[in-house]
Amino acid sequence: MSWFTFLIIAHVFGTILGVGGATFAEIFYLKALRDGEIDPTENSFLKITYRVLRIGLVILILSGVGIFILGRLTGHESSFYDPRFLAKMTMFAAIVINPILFQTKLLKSWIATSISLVSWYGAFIVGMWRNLDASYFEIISVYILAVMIAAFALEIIKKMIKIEK
Amino acid sequence: MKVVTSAFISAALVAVFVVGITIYGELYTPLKDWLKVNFSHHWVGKSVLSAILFLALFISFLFKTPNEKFPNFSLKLAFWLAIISSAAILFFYLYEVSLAH
Amino acid sequence: MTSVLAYNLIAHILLGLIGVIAFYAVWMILLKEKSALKWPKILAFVGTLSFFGSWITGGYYYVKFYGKAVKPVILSGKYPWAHTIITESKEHIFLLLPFLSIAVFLALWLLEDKIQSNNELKKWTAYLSGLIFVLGAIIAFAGVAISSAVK
Repeated sequence: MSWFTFLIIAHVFGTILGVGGATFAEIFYLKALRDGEIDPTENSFLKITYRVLRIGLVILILSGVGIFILGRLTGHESSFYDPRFLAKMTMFAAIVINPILFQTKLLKSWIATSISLVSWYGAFIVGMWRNLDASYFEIISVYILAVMIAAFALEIIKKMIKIEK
Repeated sequence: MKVVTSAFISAALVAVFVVGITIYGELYTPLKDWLKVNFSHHWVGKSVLSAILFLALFISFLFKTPNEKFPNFSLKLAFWLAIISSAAILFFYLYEVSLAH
Repeated sequence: MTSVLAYNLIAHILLGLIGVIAFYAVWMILLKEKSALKWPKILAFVGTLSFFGSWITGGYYYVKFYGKAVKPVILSGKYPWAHTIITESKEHIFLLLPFLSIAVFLALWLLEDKIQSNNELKKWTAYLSGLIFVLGAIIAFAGVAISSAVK
C-alpha cells in the first residue's frame, strides 16, 4: 500500500468518525433533552460521542496534512488557491472555532449545533465532489444558507419532539 | 510563583525583542549582515539571541520579581505583547511590500 | 531535495501541528468551568516539546534549502508576496511560540492549585493557550500558502 492510499484511507476514516460523531452527538443531545435534563447515562453517551468526534478530527488533520506534504514532496502540491480546498478549509476552521465560541457563550447552542453539523457535512461533500465547478464565494454562500436552513430545521424538530428551551 | 512570573515576563520581553531585531534588521542592513556573519544566517542569529535573552531574563527575574499573589499581571503582559508583536511584524512586512510597489 | 531535508520538512510540519493541536486542547479544557488539569499539563508539555522540535527541524530546512531552492522560485512566480509577506512574517512570529508555551507549561505544572482556585488566572491562562493555538494555526496555514506558491 502506498503512503498516498494509506493517507486517503485515514482521511476518509477521520471524516467518517467526525461526520458520524457530529450526527450522533446531535441525535443523543435532542433525545436527552426531551425530558428537560441530561442524566448521567445520557451524559456518558454524549461524552463518548464527542470523544470519537475529536479523535476523528485529529486523524483528519494529521492525514490531511500528510496528503499535503506528500503532494509537496512529489511535486503535486494541491493548490492552496483552489476554491474547493479554500472552502473546505473555511468549513474546517468553523468546526474548530465553533466549540470555542460556544464555550465562551458567544454563540447560542441552536446556531452552534447547526454550524457544527453543516460544517462537517459540507467539508465532506466538497471533499468528495471532485469536479465541483464553483467559485469560493459560491460554495461559501451555499454553506451559509445551509447553516441557516439547518438551524431552522433543528428548531422545528425540537418543537415537534417538544423540547423546552 | 516567581518561576512562573519570571517565565511570563521573559516571554513578553522576548516578543518585543523579536519585533525590534526584525524591523531594525530590515531597515539597517549592517545588523542583518552581522547576524549572517556570526550565526551563518540572520534567522538563526535571531533564534539564538531570543533563546539566550529568554534564559538571561528568566534567571535575573527569578531574583528580582516582586512577590505577586497570582501572576495575573505578568500573564496578561505576555498575552498582549505577543498579540502586539505579531501584528507589528505582519504589518511591517505588509508595509514594506506596499512601499516596494 | 535530499531525504534528510525531506524528513526535516515532514518533522517540522507534523511537530508544529502536534503543538497547535495540543494547545487547542489546553485552551478548550481550561475554558470549562470545572476542569481537572491532568490533561492540560500533559498537553502543554507535549506542545512545548513539539514547538521546540518544529523550530529546530524547520530551521534546518529553511537555512539549508529554502533560501537557495524555494525562495527564488516563489519570488519569480505568480505569488511573490508568499515569501515577502508570509514567509517573512511566519519565520519571525514563530519565534514567540516556544517561549510562550514554556510559560504556560510552567504555570500549569507549578500553579495547578492556584489556577483551579483563581478564575482570573485560569481565564488568562486559557486565553494565552488560545493565542498560542491561533498564532500556531495561522503559521501552519501560512506554510500551506508558501508551499502552494512554489507551484
